[in-house]
Amino acid sequence: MSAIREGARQAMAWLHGWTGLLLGHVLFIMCLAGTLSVFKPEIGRWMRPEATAIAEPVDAIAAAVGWLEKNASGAGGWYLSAPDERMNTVEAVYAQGADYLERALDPVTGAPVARETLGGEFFYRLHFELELPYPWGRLLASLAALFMLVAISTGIIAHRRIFRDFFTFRPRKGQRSWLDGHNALGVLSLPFHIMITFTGLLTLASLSLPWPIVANYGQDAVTMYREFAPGVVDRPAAGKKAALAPVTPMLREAERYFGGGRIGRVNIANPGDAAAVVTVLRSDADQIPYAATQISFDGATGRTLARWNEKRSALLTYDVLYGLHIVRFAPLVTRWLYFFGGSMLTLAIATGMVLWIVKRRERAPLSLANRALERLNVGVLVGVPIGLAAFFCANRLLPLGGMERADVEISMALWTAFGGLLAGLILPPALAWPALLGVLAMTCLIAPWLGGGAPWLAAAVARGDFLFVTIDATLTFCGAALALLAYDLARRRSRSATPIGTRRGRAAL
Amino acid sequence: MISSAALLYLGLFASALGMHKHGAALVGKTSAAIIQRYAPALSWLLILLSLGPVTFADRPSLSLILWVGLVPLLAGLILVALAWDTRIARLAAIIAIGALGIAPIL
Repeated sequence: MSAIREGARQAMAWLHGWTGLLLGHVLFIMCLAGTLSVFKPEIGRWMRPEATAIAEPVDAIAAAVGWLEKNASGAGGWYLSAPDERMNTVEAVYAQGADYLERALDPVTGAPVARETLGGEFFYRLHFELELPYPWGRLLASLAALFMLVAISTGIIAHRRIFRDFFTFRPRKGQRSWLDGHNALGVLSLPFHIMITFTGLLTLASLSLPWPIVANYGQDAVTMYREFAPGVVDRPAAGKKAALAPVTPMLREAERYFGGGRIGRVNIANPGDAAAVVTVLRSDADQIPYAATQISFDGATGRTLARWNEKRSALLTYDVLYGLHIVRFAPLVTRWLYFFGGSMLTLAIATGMVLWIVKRRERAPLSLANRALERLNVGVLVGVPIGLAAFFCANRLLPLGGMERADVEISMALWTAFGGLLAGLILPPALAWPALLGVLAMTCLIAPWLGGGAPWLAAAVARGDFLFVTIDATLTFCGAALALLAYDLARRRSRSATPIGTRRGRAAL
Repeated sequence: MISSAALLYLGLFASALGMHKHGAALVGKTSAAIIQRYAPALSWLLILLSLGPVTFADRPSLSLILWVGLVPLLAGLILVALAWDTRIARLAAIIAIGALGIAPIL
């Protein structure tokens, strides 16, 4: 019996290793970007330091609609996110020609803010689209999440002493330390890892498991969406121009319907047309379920067309699971705990990738494939974070206006990450690890001070806004920790490179 | 939530005390031998008790999410202390007991 159990355990360990390895780098990028997305609105504010105006959500949406009526009247739809205590601007998405534009609008004037950037939205999109075209990025993310769920399940079975080793970490013991670290990062936060992976998989379920929808609705997506969200009215443009009725009364009516709940998103379909529809969704910050309450108005008259408070248990369950993943409901402490859990998952993946190599190197010289993987590990595990840190630097260094600034920021981040990846592949790993970690540390340390960071920090503190302090401190802390790690690795490398006769303190390693 | 976090930490601390290889490191061999008999039961009791404030919170669902998020943070603190300096874990246990005392006032 125990032989069978041991055999099963070994099979699970094999599956755990391979599922983790095959899409491990993709998972690392997804988890890192997802962890940063927890603070998506806050990152957006940090990246638009000049935008300091504050307005009530209803007034801000009314100002945004006023600006859009003058400047984006031909668009098929305007999709607006109301400001709240985490984000002071209105996030707007609207069509212009064949493209969809994403702009942060000033809550008082309604005009786009000077520093055009995607802000935290970049990390959010990277998390599940991986900068790949639709639907390939989402499909890859979905597949990676599925692999992750398999890796977690098999990891639980493969771990021989899951409770006995709960608090065990033995530093500076080579492979043993990597295994302890990987286990601790995986086990201590196991409920979070399972929850975030399962709910993440569910958010993309319509892509990865489309068959139930196809079986019930075939190609009739309109009926499906109508049944899923009865509060949203979907009707074609009438082709007859009509001015949009004042939105403020509609938003006040929505607030009354939400029972004191705040407005979250406002979608305006066919603006400027007689068949315009204004749909108002309750703020996700007010409850765990995502977008469970909504009300629609006739755009031309302001008359209520439909209202919906989701009570169907299956859909409410889905909304709760979705809400648990995107964590918009969470107060500050919970958001930090999500950030902490996400960091642990990211590090668990990274340590697992390194452990694969360390384990094999201690047994025998590395095969060609494993040597390539070792270099790829450095390139992805350090190169990609360098790219993400460069995104913050690009935000501060690029001049305001005059070009597709938001796109240039992203290009700079991606090219920097590519450079990091290339350096990891070219340089010998013993040199690449400390060198690239040093670059990452430096990038994190300088980001808060670039492009006039100090005056913004002082101005924010003066008006009692501690967001800049928190993000600058977090970047500085990460930079300092990474610098220490890079220094330690460089010191160890120089010791191991010293001729045997002159080595000192080797026993301490 | 302060009392819940304090009870949870003390529960995890008791759990570490009950483990053969960690108990002695945390409180010394002699004390560990005596404590280890009761530590596992005490650990589960404290962890269960830490769920009490969660149940009676204004929004139990949010409190439960917070509680789940606190487990890796507090267990991680004990793990780090056991790996580098056990005084951190003992000091945190004293702070947790103190927090339990002042939580009703807050």
